[in-house]
Amino acid sequence: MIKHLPALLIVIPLLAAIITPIIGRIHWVLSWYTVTITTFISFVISLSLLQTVLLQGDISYWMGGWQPPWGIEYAIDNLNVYVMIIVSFMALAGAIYSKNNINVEIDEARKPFFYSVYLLFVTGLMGMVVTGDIFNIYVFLEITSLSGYALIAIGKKRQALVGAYNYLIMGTIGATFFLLGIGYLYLMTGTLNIADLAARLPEFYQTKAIFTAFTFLVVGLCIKLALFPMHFWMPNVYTHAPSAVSAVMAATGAKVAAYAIIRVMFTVFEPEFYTLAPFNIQPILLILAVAAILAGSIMALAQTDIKKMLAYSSVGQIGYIVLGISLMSVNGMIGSLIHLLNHAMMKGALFFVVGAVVYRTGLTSIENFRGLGKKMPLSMAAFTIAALSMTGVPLTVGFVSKWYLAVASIEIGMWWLVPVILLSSLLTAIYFWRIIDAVWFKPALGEESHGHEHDDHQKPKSNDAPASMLIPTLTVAMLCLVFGVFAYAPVSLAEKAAVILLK
Amino acid sequence: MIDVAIPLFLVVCGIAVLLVKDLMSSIMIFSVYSLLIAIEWVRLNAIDVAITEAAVGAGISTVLFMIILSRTKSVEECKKSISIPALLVAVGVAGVLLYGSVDLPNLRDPNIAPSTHVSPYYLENAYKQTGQENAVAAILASYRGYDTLGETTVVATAAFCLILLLRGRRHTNKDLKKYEDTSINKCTVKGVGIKPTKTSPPGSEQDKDIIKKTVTKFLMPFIQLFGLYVIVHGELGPGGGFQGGVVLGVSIIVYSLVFGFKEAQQRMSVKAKDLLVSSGVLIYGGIGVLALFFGGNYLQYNVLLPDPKFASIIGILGIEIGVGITVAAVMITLFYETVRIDANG
Amino acid sequence: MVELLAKYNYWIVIILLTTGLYGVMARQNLIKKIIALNVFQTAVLLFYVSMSKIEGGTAPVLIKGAKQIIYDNPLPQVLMLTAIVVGISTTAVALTFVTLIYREYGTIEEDQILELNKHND
Repeated sequence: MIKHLPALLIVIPLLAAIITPIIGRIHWVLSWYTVTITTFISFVISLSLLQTVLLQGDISYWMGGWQPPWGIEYAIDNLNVYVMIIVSFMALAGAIYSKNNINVEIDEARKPFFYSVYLLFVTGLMGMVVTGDIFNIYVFLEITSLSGYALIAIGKKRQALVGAYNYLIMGTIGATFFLLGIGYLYLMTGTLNIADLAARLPEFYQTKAIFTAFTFLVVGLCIKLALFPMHFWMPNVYTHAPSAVSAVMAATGAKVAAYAIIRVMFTVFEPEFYTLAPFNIQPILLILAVAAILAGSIMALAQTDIKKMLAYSSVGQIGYIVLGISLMSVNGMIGSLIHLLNHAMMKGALFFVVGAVVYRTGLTSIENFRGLGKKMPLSMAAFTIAALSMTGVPLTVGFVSKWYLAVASIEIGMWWLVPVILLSSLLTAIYFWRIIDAVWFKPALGEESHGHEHDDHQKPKSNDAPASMLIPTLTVAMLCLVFGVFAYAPVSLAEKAAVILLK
Repeated sequence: MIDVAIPLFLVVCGIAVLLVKDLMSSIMIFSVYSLLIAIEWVRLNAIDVAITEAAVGAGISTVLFMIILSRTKSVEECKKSISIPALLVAVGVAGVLLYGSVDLPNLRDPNIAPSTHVSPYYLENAYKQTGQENAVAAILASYRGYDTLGETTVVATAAFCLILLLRGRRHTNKDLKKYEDTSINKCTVKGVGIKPTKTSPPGSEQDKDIIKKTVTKFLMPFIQLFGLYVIVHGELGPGGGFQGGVVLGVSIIVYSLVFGFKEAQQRMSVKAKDLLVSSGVLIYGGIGVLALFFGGNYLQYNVLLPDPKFASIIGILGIEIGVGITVAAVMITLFYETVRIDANG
Repeated sequence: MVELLAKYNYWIVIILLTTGLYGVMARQNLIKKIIALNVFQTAVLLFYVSMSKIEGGTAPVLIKGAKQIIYDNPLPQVLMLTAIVVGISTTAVALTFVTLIYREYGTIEEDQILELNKHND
């Protein structure tokens, strides 16, 4: 069975997601167990695949026993095993976290379907990551998109519906662009297998058709990634979706879109393409990345709703990831890949804490955070760690990726990017300081005034989030520190991946 | 000549769809558009795609649109202004596409890469390796069977999403019962000839009702038999799980349109249908897992029995049935769940 | 002229795709947007299926014994079966959103919804 692990990685959660509604009929808790256990299994399988890849090299698994390019291949290398671990781990954390947190949004009768759709969302993402067939990416992209729309729409406020609708429209346009791009590639090369495409494409690098294919593939994915200026669907989605969903989406959805861009840009196409293509792509991406970094930070500064602030901050962080990609150097790619991991953990932790605050108080305005340091000390400690990491303070993960990005910029002579990174870090520090200041140093807003809103949950004194939320929150926050100090493990893996990508 | 005319009609319909103010007309034109496209697929020898398009595009999606329309407003509010940003984006996209089309190979050229690189292998080996005479079915179910599993999952996902969004939202189970009794009346769509079953007055209307019911009752087994035939027939000619599943689903939908929602539910309860959505995908995935135990890769059918070709035929038949069950159940779900929506909360 | 006709379906694809895309972005009515989205998606279907046709080819249902037959390319047809099914799934979910939005807002015009959201915040 060891041989079949790449298939089982996806097939187990996929079939489990299908069974979940049936199991959930007995009692909804069973559906939660199903999701938690299967995401845990996927996480363990990813770790074991990591070991295999490190010891024995890349894995190729032929679905249906058909040899690629005729059949569909699962191709696992350093890059996607790394992303797999991030996705499956955050999916597991999100599943544990959602057990109590989702009570705010839905009733027990619908929980089995919620968990089923949640698991489908995660499975779709993982399926996109491990596959070595470009059309298969599209199929799994649709699984994850469709379930994602529904997960957002169950948010409590009616704005969630509008957000989900707009996301559906944008997401479908993005996916259709991606499909169109695949069509152009297929028409020119006759194949859908990524390795085969990479082998057959170089002779067409100078053609206009292939450049068009590239444009549609990347633009389609950028819409999914919410790269500035195609980000406008995203703030409403993250703001109004259930907190557990926002956390998992921010931590995994955007990461997988970024992974797909890296895959398309550096595996389907090879670095040579960027010198032969009819237009120079690098400056365009670079400008978009810088604009995203600055615009995201500035807009985050202007928000009064914490979820919206985090959403705009994501726009900026996605800019960092794209910046690393667009530098097209090994160190830039390492920075980008490390930032994938960092942002998954930091944003995950921040949204987890916000979800806990919503669970306790029902409010999301920044004002409301005043004095929470005394009421929810552990959650707020996690928030503070994640916020420091987001700013890029040394000894946190956030520092590592920004360091690599800065080094890479200087290396290729774009020193002007360093002040951009510094400025954005400063802005990040400012918008997080407002909250940290309020949390630890300000007295609470008149407690009696909103006391009635949380008297259901409130127990005197011990008012921190329930253990099912605290454990994943604290674990993820601690990892921000652990990987900040022992950065060697992720960096060495990212370096291996980057060297292969930019060979 | 007709190869030039149909695409032109398509363009005309496509533009008309967007220009018409009345949403019902717009949907009708879109339905015609789907039929035209289905004809174009036939012209292009894509029979499987044509069947699916006719059943899905012109059939199911038209019904869905009309149900939703009956729940909301049917006229688009009058604002004729041209959106400049939208125009810019559209022109930009058209520009990139035109730029890219310049050095695309000519259509119908037998020497283009898609016809020379991967697909000749399928045409040469499909029968030998999978026992399928229809190369489309061979690729769909076997060579790219994993895509099809994903696709079946997409369909099931849609059903789960609808249930998650609609079921139990804002009303208790008691209210649901109330809906189920009356929902068909709300589902009545103006001008399409679907009459409310409960409130129909005596006299000629009643007679019409009886005729309609008798005809439906008479036709039902044939439609369903046809659906089953299409599911199983994929091996030899056009057809397969998707197409057949849609036909089967439509038969139940027609039944509930004519006899009312309650009666249809006695034929197929919501619980049973939910179970069917899952079980189709489970059959598909299960056959894949079974292959693992027989020492093959995931979804490798030819290890299931001693004779690889026969095993392949059986495996493919199994997954086509799985697809058919899920697709039929999902189509019914789409209908049931949207019909139960009450726009006024 | 021959050159133009040889790529005839590409031009149709471009027109349909652009029309659909413009409709999705410019129309305010939520149902109209979904119809336009469908037109947009079918343009891509047309692109794929057009490339499967070969001059003189027959439908890819194998005829035993005959060797000289040219078959059309079955692969794009398979891919588009997937795309059609994905399309209907998306449409169904989108339409569900529309009804729920109508229930919450009492309108399906985008600008009115935005206006209502502004008042709420």
